[in-house]
Amino acid sequence: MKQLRTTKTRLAVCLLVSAGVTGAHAQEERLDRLESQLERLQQDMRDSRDTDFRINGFMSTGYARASNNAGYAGVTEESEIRPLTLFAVQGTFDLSDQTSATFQLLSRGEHEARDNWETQLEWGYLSHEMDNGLRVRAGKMRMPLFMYSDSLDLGYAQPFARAPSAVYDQVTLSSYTGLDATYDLDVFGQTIRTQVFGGHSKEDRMVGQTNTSAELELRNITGAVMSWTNYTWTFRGVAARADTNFAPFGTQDDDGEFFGLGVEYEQGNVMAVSEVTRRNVDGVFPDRDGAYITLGYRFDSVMPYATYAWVETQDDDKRPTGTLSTQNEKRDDYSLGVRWDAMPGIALKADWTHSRGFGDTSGALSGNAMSFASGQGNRFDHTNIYTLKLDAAF
Amino acid sequence: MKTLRMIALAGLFAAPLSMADVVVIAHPDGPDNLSESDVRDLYLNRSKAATPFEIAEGSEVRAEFHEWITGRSNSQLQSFWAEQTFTGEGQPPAEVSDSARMVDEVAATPNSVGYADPADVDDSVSVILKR
Repeated sequence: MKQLRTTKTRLAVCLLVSAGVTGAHAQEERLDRLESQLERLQQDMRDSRDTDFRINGFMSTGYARASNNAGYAGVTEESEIRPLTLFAVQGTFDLSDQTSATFQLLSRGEHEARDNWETQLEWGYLSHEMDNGLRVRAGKMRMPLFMYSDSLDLGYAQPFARAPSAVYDQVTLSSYTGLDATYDLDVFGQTIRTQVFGGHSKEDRMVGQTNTSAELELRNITGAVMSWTNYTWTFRGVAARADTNFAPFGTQDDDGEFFGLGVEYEQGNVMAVSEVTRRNVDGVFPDRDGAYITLGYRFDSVMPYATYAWVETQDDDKRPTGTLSTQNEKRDDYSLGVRWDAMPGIALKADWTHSRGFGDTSGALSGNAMSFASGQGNRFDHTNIYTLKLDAAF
Repeated sequence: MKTLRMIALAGLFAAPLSMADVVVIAHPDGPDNLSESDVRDLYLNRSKAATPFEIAEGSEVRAEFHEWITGRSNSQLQSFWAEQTFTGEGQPPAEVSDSARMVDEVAATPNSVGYADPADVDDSVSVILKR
């Protein structure tokens, strides 16, 4: 655009200079013609900004290590960079003003149930917005269980270096294949965004703290999300259910329920976010409650934050002894961290998380599993995890 | 243009409590009658009623506008739009290089809104909100 304008000025100057040679009137006509051609060209350039295809990407990388081998979030004394590293590209095709197709390909350095650097279709859906504002999507999408579900892999959109595992590990299957519909309801002059979804999800998961994996399958997922925001406060509620299948726990089409409440506050330099979630599954599959609160204060591009998170399984009596008892989980996690927006599109984060308060559980930590299962108690009663992370979006 | 900005800057020093001025502008054929919260909806992807434009980062006018209307800093806006982009909710507004270009762009785009330094505003656009 800038280029064009310069050209336009130059053309005008050239033409005006030569205007003395030929008739000024003819030149003026020519100038007018050129001007209108340029206008059209500029309009074309403006239109081409609304292109039919857009591509964006994001990546994360980082380093984490722990003060001992308790294995919180898989982090030990010998941790490496790969688990925190991921790269994604996302493309959106506009088929019409109201219909678009979106895909996201994501490659992770390490994942419990996938090959290293295996690229997966994380999202792939068609979206259609009807004239009455109802948006319907079909395909592979993110299960909208948490406040940061949509940006689970997009570290750049999260304030913290680690999404609190007390809540975010509640349901480890992040995507589903199915349908959703979103509508902005007008209730007493307030806009309540309502989303309903349904579908199916399946992925291999680790069995407890062992080295074997098995298929975790959620069938007939149905759920609803309601959210309200006035840009300072955001409130969100979610309820969902699914027929849950996980052979190692003998879970076969057992009723699984999920409930979550979230609140976010953002005003001036202060931000706060908190979520409370509950997972209930029939049988020995653990019922688990989790919650966290994060407070942050922005000093220009630097935001220190503090998080307290709590998790506790509610049906420990169903898993009194042996390997299953290592699924009993109780923990208090305290995090201090800082996010620095180093330059547009790039954030650096540092985080220290201290975890303790396992009570009479193993804390669901891999380093405690063996001794706990054999009745000898925990090897570790606390752990510290240090994380450095770089998140970018482009 | 530079002179204008120098004057504006001088004014800033002369009256330290006054801010760089910014007004919300729109295409002469509309939209009009927008409230502050309508404009906020347009700039925070809650409404598609009109096409908003942004001035590129680093502009004083942009900073003033966002302090007034959205209450979001540049880094907050970056995070916000990254999230919106990757969740398929939408793309950030197209950017222009400065306040004068904003006036040209809004004047040339039907049903668009923007913001500008009042010193750059001429009758090719209409001023729909003042601070």
